[in-house]
Amino acid sequence: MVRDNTKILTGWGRTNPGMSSKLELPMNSDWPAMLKALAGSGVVARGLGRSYNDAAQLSGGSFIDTTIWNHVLHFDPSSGILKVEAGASLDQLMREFSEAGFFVPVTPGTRHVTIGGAIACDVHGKNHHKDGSFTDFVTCMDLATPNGVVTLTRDEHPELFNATCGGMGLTGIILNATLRLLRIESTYMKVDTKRTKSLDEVLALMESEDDHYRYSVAWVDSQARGSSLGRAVLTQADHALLSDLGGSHLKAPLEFKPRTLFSAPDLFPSGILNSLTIKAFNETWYQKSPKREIGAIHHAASFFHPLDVVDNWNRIYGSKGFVQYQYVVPFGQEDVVKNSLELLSKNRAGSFLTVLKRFGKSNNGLISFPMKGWTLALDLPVGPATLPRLFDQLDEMVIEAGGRVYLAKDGRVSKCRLKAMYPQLDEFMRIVESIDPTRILRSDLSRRLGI
Amino acid sequence: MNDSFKKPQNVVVLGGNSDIAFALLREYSQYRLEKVVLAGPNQATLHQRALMVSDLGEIEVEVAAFDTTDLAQVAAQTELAMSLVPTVDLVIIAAGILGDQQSDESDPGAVAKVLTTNFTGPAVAMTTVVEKMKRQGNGSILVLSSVAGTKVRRSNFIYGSSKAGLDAFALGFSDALWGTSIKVTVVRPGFVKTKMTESLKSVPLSTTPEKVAISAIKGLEMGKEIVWVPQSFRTVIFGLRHIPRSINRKLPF
Repeated sequence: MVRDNTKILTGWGRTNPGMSSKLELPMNSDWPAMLKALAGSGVVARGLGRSYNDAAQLSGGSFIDTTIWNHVLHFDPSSGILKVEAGASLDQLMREFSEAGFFVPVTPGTRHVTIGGAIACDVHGKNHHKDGSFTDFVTCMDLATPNGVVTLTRDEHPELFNATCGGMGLTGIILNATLRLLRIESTYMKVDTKRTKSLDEVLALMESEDDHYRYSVAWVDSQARGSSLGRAVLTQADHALLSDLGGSHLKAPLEFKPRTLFSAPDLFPSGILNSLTIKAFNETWYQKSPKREIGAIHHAASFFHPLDVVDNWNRIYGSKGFVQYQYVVPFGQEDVVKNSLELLSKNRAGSFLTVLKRFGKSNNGLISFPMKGWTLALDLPVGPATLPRLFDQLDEMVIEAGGRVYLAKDGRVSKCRLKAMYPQLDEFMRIVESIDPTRILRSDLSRRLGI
Repeated sequence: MNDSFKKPQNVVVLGGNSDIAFALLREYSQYRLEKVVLAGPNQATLHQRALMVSDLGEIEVEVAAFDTTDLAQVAAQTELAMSLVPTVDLVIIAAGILGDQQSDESDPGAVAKVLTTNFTGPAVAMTTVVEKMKRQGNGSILVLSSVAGTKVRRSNFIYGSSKAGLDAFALGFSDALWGTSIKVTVVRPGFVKTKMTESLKSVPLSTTPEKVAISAIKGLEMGKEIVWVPQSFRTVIFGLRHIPRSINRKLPF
């Protein structure tokens, strides 16, 4: 039964609203007929809407709500191989499989993303330097295309597989995926925290120590200047083994039942997060972090997803929303990290949460974001008139260094800079046009970027 | 498409020869502007203006016929102008004439021309624009009103009442579209030094197209429905609204 109603959609950054019709379709639809019927105004898949901007919306067109497809299809506890429908969320998988001793192999900063979205954005986590990104664990998926449902693996249809991993949903509707879960002894993390006084110090520390930990990420004080520029709090962690735990943690070592404390109301005026409050927040965060703490035991939910404690935390940025910006530049281009922090501080552009990490090697996803190097993520409230040009300047620095920005967070990169950042974009477009010549599958992002 | 900062890629200007519209395009040309349609009644002047716009950067410009006094055609002309861009991200409604208050007062035809050009025609066009934006699911509309329409004075009540009508109509539409992703911003400049006003002598609080453009864009990006330029007019007009009519009719400006 097809239901059709109009919704106003935005990404998590809440900047670019557009009206689309919601479609709830059964998985076993006659996809060629269905997609052809939608050819005029187009269609895009949408899961939990956590991409930051316009990737999962199509103004004036339709979106397929994939969250109704959330069933586990098959699980082999001996190997950890899971076949699951694309609308299942990482949150759901963590709750369902932690008791059996399994964890998702890659989780971004929120667990409220769907499998389909995680593949389309090829999301990464704090373990990229060790394990790679989400699609590195995906072995197989079913993709609905205008020509029918295609089963993709690295051996069958490798081109389409590589275009779909990180392909922003433009190659088809991902119906289900087979992936390998990670075996764990507990849902606790053994965490080392180190506070550094400068950017150089944290860069050096990450270079020398990251390889000893599965997870590593540095929170950077975007407001520190001068000799403190880039001072950071580095957290490095591994899944805690049972032998690491003691006392109350041993009562239910595999429990994963995080609760949200409250939902942020939709009444924050834009401007609550301004340069003063952001500075105060960054200062407090830095000061309250331990100078050095080794082997602290934290629950996985608070380690991976501290923001998920508050539902709709994006509302605190007010109605104007915020812009996330994340780039990666190759190793050896540390100056870009330094210069971009200087540029922000010179322009008094306060980034509320600034995160630095090292990426390991890239995969074969044609427009997948991660590549070996340093990645820096910023989030800034929309407001200051200088921001658009500031980001353009950052883009130029990133291109110069041979890097790129993350499409799942982008809402503003220019078409020609995008081409300079993704050398395999032409190849990607060739595959998309061969599978969907009339471009039924499109999004506001694809129209904005001309892809 | 608009980007996260509400910078448009495609803009349609209804009243394409407007100096203020050009100043707006110049501002937007620093960002993601790709294609502009200039729609207006005089194709020769539009072509000149089109050259100026394409000089602003790598911007594709097309001109289209648009005559607000031709009420039988204006809806179709608006539709056609909008069909020339892949997405209608921003429509600037800038059509308008000043008229000549003194001689027009005794000329019914001239009164009809000012009111049709400044109010009825743009209102019809705006209705067409809104319908299109409803179909495409989003869009911004920038309506060039005037301070003259917020407190109609003896010395230019024909122009003033035409802008009063447009201003009220546009804000009404803004209310009607509340809760959708189509946004209307009404800009109320004071005396702007443009070709339209070059025959008049400058007055206090006068402004320039560039300043109007900067304020209008800032207002639009902040989600404001009303933008006064300069901002101080808001207070001035608030005061003027409270003076008795016996004084109002004797105002020297």
